[in-house]
Amino acid sequence: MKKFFVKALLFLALMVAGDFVLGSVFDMWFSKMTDGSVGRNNYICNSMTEDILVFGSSRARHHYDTKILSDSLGMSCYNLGQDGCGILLSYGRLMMVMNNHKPKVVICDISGYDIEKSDNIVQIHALKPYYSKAPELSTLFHDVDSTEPIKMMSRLYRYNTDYVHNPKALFKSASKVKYKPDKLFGYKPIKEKFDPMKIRKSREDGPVPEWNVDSLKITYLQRFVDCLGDDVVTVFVASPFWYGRKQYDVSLIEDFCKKNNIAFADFQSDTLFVHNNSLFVDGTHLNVHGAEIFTNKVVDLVKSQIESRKLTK
Amino acid sequence: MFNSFIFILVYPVLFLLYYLIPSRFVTARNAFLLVASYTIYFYWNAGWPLALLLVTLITHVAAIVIDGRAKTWATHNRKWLIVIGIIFAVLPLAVIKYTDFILSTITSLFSNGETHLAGLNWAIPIGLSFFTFQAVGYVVDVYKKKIPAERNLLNYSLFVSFFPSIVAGPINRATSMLPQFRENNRRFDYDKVVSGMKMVLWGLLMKVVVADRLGMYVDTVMPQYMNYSGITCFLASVAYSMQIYADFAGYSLMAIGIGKSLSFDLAENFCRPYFSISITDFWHRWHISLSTWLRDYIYIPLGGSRCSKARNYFNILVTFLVSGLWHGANWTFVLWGGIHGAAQVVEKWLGLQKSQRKGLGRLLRITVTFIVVNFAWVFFKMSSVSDAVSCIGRMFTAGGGVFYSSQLDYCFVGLAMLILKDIADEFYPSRFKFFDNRYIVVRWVSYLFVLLIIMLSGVFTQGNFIYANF
Repeated sequence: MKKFFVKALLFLALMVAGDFVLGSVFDMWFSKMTDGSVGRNNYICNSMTEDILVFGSSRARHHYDTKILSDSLGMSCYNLGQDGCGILLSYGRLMMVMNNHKPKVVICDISGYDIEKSDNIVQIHALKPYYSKAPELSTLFHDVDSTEPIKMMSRLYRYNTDYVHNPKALFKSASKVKYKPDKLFGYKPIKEKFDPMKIRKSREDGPVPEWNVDSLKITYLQRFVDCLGDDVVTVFVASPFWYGRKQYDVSLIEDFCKKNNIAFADFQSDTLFVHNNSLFVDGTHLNVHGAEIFTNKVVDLVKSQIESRKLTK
Repeated sequence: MFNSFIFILVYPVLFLLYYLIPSRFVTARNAFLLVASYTIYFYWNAGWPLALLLVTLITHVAAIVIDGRAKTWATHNRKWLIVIGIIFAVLPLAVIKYTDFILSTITSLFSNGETHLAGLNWAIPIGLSFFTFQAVGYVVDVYKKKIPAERNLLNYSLFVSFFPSIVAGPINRATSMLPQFRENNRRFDYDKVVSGMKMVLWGLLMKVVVADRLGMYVDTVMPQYMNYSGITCFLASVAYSMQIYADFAGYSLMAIGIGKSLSFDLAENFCRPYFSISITDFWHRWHISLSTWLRDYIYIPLGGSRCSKARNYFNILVTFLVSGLWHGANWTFVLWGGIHGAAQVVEKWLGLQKSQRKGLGRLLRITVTFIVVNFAWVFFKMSSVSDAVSCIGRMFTAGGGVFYSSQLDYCFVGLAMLILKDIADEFYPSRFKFFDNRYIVVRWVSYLFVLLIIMLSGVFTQGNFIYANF
């Protein structure tokens, strides 16, 4: 038995040492990546300076044309939307951004998905490598899953499923690393045509789904708004769906916005978009043409908010 | 579950406490394992231990009564006893698992859609089918006088609820397990413990790197198969075949490994099933503890192969329909069992199950067997027979490219390691040993490499084991 425990302890020590050494290599490697999704995350978390920030899920990423927003509003703009993610990632990223810079305008695309119960740990996966870089992130991870801080003691775990990337980056000189925004500043237009096969009939005819509200997401929605403060123009938007009826009951969001004195616009069943095949690729995502029209509507909304803010001042 | 973070934290403590109890205090050790098993089961759902306790008590009493009447009662009276005993033992399984299925089948057969018989809609206790079959097997063994009834309730309860195998087997035999629980001097066996730990490590790789990662691809494509091309549907079906193998064989390895680390030998469950040369061979390699259970307690009592050809074919079909129904209360599972049964009947009819080809002939038969098994898995995976048929139909009719997901990248190294290890074990059993290499450096580097792959590619959101649902 003694032999077993001595060997087990030795093996454990080797594991810890290996984790530390390889984790440090990954730290260095990742910090030097300037392209792909890691490069995008590095830019967002380390070097972002844009005035207008767009947060949300894939619907945010595909619906808000950053060029239109920045040209029309005369401010630089970046789209931080991320497929399959919502308010938890948005909060974490905002914390990282606020380390260096405070935005002037924040547009938060929101739908029922953002406050429904789902696999939260998957949603904040992109923040793992930055875990030790902002104290708010460790609180966020702990709130999502109380075992995460223990798992995060492993430095390799922070790079779980992030390692299939450019190996050349590892050999770059640290002084030459400069994070840059991608060409479209985070916006990802979809150029495909509408595919009727991707329409779910239940979402057209069935009852409006009831939310299984995740109280943690509501908490973080509040924290998101609180940390922006009064000097940032904040707008919440429910962007359009193809389907002929509202996909989500937004009264909870409306109440939240009212309580926090935030503008809210609901485009879910805007007649300009509903059943308009030329503006969508599927039931939930606008194509590039739809995004252009929609972004112009958002520009008007943000302009009116900036104006009203000026009048109030 | 073995892949949960809580279990990984708790297990070393259990292991230490278990070995801190001196080996001569066998009752104390067994009591400790029983409390641990029930606590773990209670952790999933506070009500489930009741079903476990009920099955344990029913079969314990039934076996003692049957054993007690062994000498005094006539055979036909003892037959009634065993029938009553089995009916009571299977009752919790039948009520909880099959009521809704029976009611929905009756509704669809006899009503015009207006009437709907309300089902129980209860959550099925994890491992219910496994521990019920294990307990029923014990009662039948006592009836057949293979073993005497176990009068020590502690030992028997531990046999039914032993935590490494309660979730999804292996379905252990009383003849093998009860003597181990009775053994007086279960000392710490270094080689056995280390061998168990290696099994746990490899099983964990199979589960979290291969099965759970492939599962993400499968769960994206298969429920929405109508949105994907035929080639993508086929790729997803192959991914599912690998997923279910890595999931269940990985679980079994971990269960057997944890058993070994506590100095118990559980039943073997897998032997590289995708190298089978026929469906008959497949069932000698896949879920071995279930297929031998079905052979001993269903197929042979029905008459086995010592009867007419027609009757033998009937026995095979019935055995595999029961196997299908055991897996789940849905016609998809019945059909899946039916396909396996029918394929074996055809093999027997053509005399294919006995031929031992080598070289290309063997490769061809392995391929054909894999394709049959793969298509049968589609029925196993889909929620309805019509969806399964449509999905298979789409594989042959829908054009378009392959949908590729980064999940396939992340499981690539683990999947390649699994396939290469299975090839080496199947064709070169004494070569390419890494975990069992005679040089400690090679062994330890192999362990660390597997751990590295798990840390970098594993899914740590504690995905359920597929077979835990049965």
